[in-house]
Amino acid sequence: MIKLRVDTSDFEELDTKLKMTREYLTESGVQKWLGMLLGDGRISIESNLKNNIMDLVYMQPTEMIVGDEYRIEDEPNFYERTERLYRATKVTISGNQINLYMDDETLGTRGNLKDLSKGTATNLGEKPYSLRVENDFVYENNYGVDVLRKGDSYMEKTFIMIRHRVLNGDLDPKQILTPILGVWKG
Amino acid sequence: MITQSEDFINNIHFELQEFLSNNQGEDDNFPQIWYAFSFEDVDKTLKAIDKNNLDDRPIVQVIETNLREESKYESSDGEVSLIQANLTFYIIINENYNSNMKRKRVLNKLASQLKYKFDNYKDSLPHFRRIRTGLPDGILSRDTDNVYSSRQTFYCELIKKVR
Repeated sequence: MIKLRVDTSDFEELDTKLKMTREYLTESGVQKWLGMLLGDGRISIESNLKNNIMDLVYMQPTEMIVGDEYRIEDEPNFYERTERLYRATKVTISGNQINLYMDDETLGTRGNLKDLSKGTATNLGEKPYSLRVENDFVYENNYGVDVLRKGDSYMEKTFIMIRHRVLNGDLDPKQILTPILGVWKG
Repeated sequence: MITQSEDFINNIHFELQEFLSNNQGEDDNFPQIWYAFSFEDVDKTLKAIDKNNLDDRPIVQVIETNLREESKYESSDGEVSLIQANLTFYIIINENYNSNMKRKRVLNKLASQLKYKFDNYKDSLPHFRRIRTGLPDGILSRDTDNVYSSRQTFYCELIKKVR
């Protein structure tokens, strides 16, 4: 009878090394992919958000319900606008997450407060300007009538668009692994 | 080529303005333009054109939508960083510019000429690497007072001296 004794201690070490390599690959791959989402010209999610602000906030009519009456301000006047909202987009990577957000500190510090309020409503301080534009917002105008300003959903659209493109494979994580897989393909 | 400029972002605009404002070769048919940094510039330029204080030319507004410092590394010139720059170009015209053509056709033509200029004469921008200019995204926007604009994306990379 031939006995073959196998020392498995090396296997354990190999297993540990493989796990570490896998974690390293995953970590660096995710970071690289996140970096691509932020910086690459075909994707750049911050640019997408800015384009959506331009299209949905500045260029689209504003819908309102004033008391019981539906109104629409359909005169786009982008070049008379300030660029505050546009400039308040911020994007950061922390860990394995991308944070895309509107920086209300930036919004609040640029220009004067009077420009920000654009009206006489007393409850403007309840919500940041970025949210008042994103979501429906109700305020009382200077005639004491409740006004509902329809939200522009620029952030929601950006989120849906990015998710859609990831699911469609337009922003494909596999791109990151391609050079690594190429090593084994020879 | 490494850009040494301390005033890095303004320098990007300066070089682009020079590039777009000057003819770059025999086949460069891109017309004379006004270059704008900010929305205020556009507003003032439109008003000046309206009052005949400026020639009626297209305005090209260049907005930096995302500037990202990708990585730093040592080079023979010391520490440098790679900047990925996503810019957006808006071409803006009024109703009188080339008034015998439809607004969309005018904007499409200008956008094509702009792309042609970058694609064929990018060597005139030695600090700009991996330039990619998109075609207009098909959205034609109309502002008040019959101002029309189109949008196209621009991507490039720059090597910046770390200071």
